[in-house]
Amino acid sequence: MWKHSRYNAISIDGERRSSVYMAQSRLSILAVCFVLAYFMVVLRLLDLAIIQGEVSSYDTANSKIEKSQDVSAISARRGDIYDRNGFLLATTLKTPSLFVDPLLVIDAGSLSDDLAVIIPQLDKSKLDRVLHAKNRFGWIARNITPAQQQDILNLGDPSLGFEYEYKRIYPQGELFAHLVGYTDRDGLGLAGIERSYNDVLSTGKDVNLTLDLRLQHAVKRELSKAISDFTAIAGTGVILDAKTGEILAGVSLPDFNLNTVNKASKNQMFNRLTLGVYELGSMFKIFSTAALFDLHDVDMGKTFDARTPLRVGRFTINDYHAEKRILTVPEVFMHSSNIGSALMGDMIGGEALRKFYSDLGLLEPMDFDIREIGKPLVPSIWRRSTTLTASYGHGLATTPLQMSAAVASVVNGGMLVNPMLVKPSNDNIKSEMRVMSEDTSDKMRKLLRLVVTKGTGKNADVKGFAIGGKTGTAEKSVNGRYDRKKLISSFVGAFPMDDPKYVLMIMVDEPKGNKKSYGYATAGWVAAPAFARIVTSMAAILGLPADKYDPQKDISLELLPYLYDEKGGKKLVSY
Amino acid sequence: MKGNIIKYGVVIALVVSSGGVLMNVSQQVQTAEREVKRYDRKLAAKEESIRVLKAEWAYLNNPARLELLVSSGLSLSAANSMDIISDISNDEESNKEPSVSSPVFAPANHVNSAPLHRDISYVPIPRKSPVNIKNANFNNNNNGGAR
Repeated sequence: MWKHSRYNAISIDGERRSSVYMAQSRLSILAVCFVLAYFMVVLRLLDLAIIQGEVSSYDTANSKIEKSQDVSAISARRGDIYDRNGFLLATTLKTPSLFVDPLLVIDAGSLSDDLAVIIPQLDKSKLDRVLHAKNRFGWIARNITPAQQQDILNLGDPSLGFEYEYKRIYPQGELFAHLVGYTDRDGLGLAGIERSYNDVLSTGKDVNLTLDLRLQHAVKRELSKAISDFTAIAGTGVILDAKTGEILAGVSLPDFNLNTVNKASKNQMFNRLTLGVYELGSMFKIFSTAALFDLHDVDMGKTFDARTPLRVGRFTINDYHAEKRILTVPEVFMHSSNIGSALMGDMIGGEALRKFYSDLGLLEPMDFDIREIGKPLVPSIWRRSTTLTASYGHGLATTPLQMSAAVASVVNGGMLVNPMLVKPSNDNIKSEMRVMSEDTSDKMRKLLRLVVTKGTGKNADVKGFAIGGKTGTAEKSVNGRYDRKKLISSFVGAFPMDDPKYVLMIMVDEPKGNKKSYGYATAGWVAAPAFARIVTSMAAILGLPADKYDPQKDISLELLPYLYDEKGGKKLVSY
Repeated sequence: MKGNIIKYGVVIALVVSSGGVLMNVSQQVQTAEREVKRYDRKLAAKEESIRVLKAEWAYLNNPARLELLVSSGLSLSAANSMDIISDISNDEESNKEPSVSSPVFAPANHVNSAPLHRDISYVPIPRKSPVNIKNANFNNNNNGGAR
């Protein structure tokens, strides 16, 4: 442009010439600026229309999907729950839900046929109603599988669309029903760990439990075998680490599938391990005997007269496995003599016995990782008769988990055990609270071993392991009266008895005797064999060597001098 | 005047070329951003499918299911409580000389030179098949019938 102006300019000389020239050059600078400005506009147009145009159209088309697929758009994903070995127990998956815009449906008949093939559980008449509706939105199926989604995408029907939402998935189904718990549709924990650790899980953090998937399955398998063998109505089983209180397995039967909670009945959802309180009977003899050793300077040779039933007020205390003679402490324990234990209770005294039970955490609700906790039933007025019956477990009801924790405290050297499902971040979880002397714990381990080698718990023995334990058979109280036909048969035990590592408890509700048990439904026939089967499985699962146990050095052998035969002569029972 | 023309020429050339470079850079940035977005989307999709696969893996490893599969598909039975020992080298039985007779087709020197493996994880590597395997008569029934 400036060239042009140059050749067509009128030639002027002198001073004026320079001023014209100046004006020309200013004009041309201005012109160049405008040209550049237009040039930039053109470039920007090209950029927007051609280069970015392609992308932005893609963005618009996908913005809807992207929005609903965007993780942050739906609130943070709930954390996962794992077992102690990192097996997945609960996770959250983004699942598509299928909806339809009925206005865009072209051929409702063929569409409903196609959908019925892909999603077989659809209700045909309901589907037709949705497809013919006069509105612009209708759900067809919630939370479909990825394979189903792919099939629907392959249909290519423009009226169908997906909404994405999070769904809680429990890959193990029923196995951890009562401890892991479940959430509502919006991801709010309603039971178990899901409820008590809701604050942690809802911020997206994972929770690692102390449970072991393999042991959990073994306990469930053997417990359900015991329940079906003896046509019982329910049962519960637990494995505890005897020193730390970590729960390795905890089962309550009947259970329910966590993925279909709305189909579960109240009976299935009831947590018998931590919420149910039961009179567990003779197991309390472990604690009354421990109290006797801990509070009084008595040795194993101390005798109790169990020849005649004991009468206290309107109560008569009888023996189930009656020996009708004078018994030493090991004999009272291994024959599970109610009379003997009641006499021990009398010797300890009501207040002392109550305090001892209380120190073991048997009289108050537990402080535990899940909130479904039962409150123990304890007599409000503690009379002499209460003391006598409480010393063999009558009139006291606790949760099975509390009971097994108290047994762990007795056998582990006398340190209080608090059961836990979630390991605290610091490794130092050894108990600091002493509830009885080490010597008492030592004596109790011998007595518990004796029950399995010679007493009521023989069926719990497993070759290669020093198992100790105690049976408990209690009559259920129905409408305020004890029903002799309805029993609670349980077995609590630990192994290896010289330094217990595991405490197990099995409880079976209302077992009925069968041919194999000669009609008996007592703990020694129902719960003890299940206990033995679980220990056998544990040995294989955890790789526990069987050659560490030497029958020649069994701790219960020391008690043999205190065992007398029926006639009262000081004779060793043949071993 | 000529100097001015060159001056303007240079300025305009600089402006145009810097504009061009700027646009090029902005293009590259936008392409890179698109790329990042695409990878983010892909990553999210992959992470989601990993979660689905993990859940499925956990579901398939349900011990009850594995137990069923083992009982129907394998000739294995549950271990006995006495089957597990703390140290295999202390076990008397495994320290004894093997009383197993030599395999039918293996040359005798093979058996003698083979190290005695106490490690239970030892998996024997298949050896070269013996040369005389072609001549061996597997069909004992027929032979017996002919006799």
